[in-house]
Amino acid sequence: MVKKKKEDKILRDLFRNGLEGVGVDPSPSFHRALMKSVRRGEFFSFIPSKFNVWYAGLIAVAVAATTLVLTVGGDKEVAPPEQPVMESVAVTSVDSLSVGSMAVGVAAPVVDAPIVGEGEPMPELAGVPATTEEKSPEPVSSPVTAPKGDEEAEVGISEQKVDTTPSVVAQTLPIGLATTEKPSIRSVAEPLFTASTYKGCLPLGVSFTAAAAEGDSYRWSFGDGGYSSDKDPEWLFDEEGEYEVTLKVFRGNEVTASFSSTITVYPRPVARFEIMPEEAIIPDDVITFLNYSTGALAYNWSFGDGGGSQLFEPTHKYSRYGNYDVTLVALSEFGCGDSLTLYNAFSKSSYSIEFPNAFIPNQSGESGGYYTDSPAEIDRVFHPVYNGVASYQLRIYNRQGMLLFESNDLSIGWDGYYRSHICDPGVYIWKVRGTFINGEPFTRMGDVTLINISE
Amino acid sequence: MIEDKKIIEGCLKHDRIAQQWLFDKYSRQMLAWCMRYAGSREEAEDILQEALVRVYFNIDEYAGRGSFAGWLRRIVVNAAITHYHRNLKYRHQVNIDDYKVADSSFMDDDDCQFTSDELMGVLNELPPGFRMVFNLYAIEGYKHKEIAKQLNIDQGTSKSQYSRAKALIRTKLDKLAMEKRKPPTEKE
Repeated sequence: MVKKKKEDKILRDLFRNGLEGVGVDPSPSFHRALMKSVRRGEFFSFIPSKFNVWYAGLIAVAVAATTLVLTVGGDKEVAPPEQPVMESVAVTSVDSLSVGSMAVGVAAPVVDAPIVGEGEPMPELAGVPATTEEKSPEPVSSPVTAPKGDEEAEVGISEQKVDTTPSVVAQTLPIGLATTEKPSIRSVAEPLFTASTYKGCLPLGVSFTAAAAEGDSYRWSFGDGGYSSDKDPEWLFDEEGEYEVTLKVFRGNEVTASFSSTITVYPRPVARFEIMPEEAIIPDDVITFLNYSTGALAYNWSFGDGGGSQLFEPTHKYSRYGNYDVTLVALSEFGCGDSLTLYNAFSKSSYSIEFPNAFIPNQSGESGGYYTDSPAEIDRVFHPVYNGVASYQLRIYNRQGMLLFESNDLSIGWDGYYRSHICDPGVYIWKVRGTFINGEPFTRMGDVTLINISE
Repeated sequence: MIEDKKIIEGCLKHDRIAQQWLFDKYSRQMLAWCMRYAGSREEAEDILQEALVRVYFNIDEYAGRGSFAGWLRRIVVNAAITHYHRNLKYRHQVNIDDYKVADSSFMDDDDCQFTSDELMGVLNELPPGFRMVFNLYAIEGYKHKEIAKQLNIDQGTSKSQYSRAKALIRTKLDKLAMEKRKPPTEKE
């Protein structure tokens, strides 16, 4: 008859193992129905990259607003392409066109930018506010510059089109432009800051270093609600997630440079396990290690006897009794780990040996130490109460340390006599050593009071 | 196989191609999970659709928390639980014969193997409540306390449903094992 707990385990294993890794093909029409559902959902949610009900609404509003403006006042130019991040820069016309490699606000794909080679006379090109080349390619995630509340900004496009009006970059200032006093927006083709690490396990401490920039104050935003105004701050991310860390450099009240970078913090898995059966007796029982870890992909068990496993829930049989520390290391796919160790994971065996603390030897003469459990005799001989003892050696000493008695036989205790004379009443020391039937060794020590009734 | 990272990045932007990648990579496995919770193929696909929609619209909640497949699995289990709640009105009568103990148990037979289809079939035949508790406890590893919370039942109910589910499953597997052992000639 299969034991109940084993039956439970057999069923669980059967289904867990039997169904793992199985795949079933969805029916042919499934995907179509799914996509219909997804598209409908997207229409009603706020998703920047998809045409949705918000866009539709915005377009309606924009159209209405434009017509209103046009009919009401004719002067205002609605010039969408110019989204100046800095109003000051927008004004520059002649000054404008940067020469050279640094185009405005375009991150990596700078290739488009320089229409003009170095040294080319400026004024010719002045008329063209360089709108053409400045439309930065879309998915540029790094440069995040402060939107000034344009329409497009409202829609929350994260890939901000950085302003198209060219500005001057200090290094490549052609002669005529040396006079510019407007602060320039530093290009972000090279990073404005570096981090000591961009990815890591929770908790993640990062040191940030700002590159030199024109400006006299720094404002860092770490993306988790934290801020700093140091130049080279350190920050501790204590929650998992992806954080956009932004540095803005100010001169006075104006931003001269801005840059963002993403820091990824991976969660730590939690290692948790239980040993079954709870009151396991080793080495008799086969031990099952139940795994309750979360967030982990791989496991490394160490059973404490040199054995280990990488299974999710291994079983193990110990070959001898011992105090084993069981450790589980749980690892996530990012290499973050957590470990849990149960020290002395197995309760002592239920085997025991105990001695009384007093006894009354028989006045009538030595018995040789044999004893029975009959009430009349029960405390006439000093002997243990035990369970599962395989072998033992008992020694009795007086308080001066003299050995009075020794027995290697469990059925023989001390009758209180030494050299055929009953010992004086008082306190004596006993010491026992031996092994239980599972091989576990034991040593015990204590004292016992010899009581002499005749006194 | 497309890397999970790429899939997730794309799905965050609701990029159709990334959504397709996700489907191609995981839908088979996810449907298999759904089938454990469903009484039929159609039901399983209902659960799968619910789960995938949730995945596409809540992928920002993943954020690297543990393994991606593990996250998908949790979404599927939650969708299955939601589905279960929505369909509670369908009661299932358990036949007394279902509980009859077979002469011998498959557990005593070391050679007995069940295919995943057979196991899935056994699950499909269970009453929804038993099936749900069995799945959550034995396969997903939920504790009874958690199951009680999710299904709005008592812990005691969860435990008794689990043990009845086991008994039922065992009976079905015993019967199945007996049938498999019949020598081929008898069937002709």
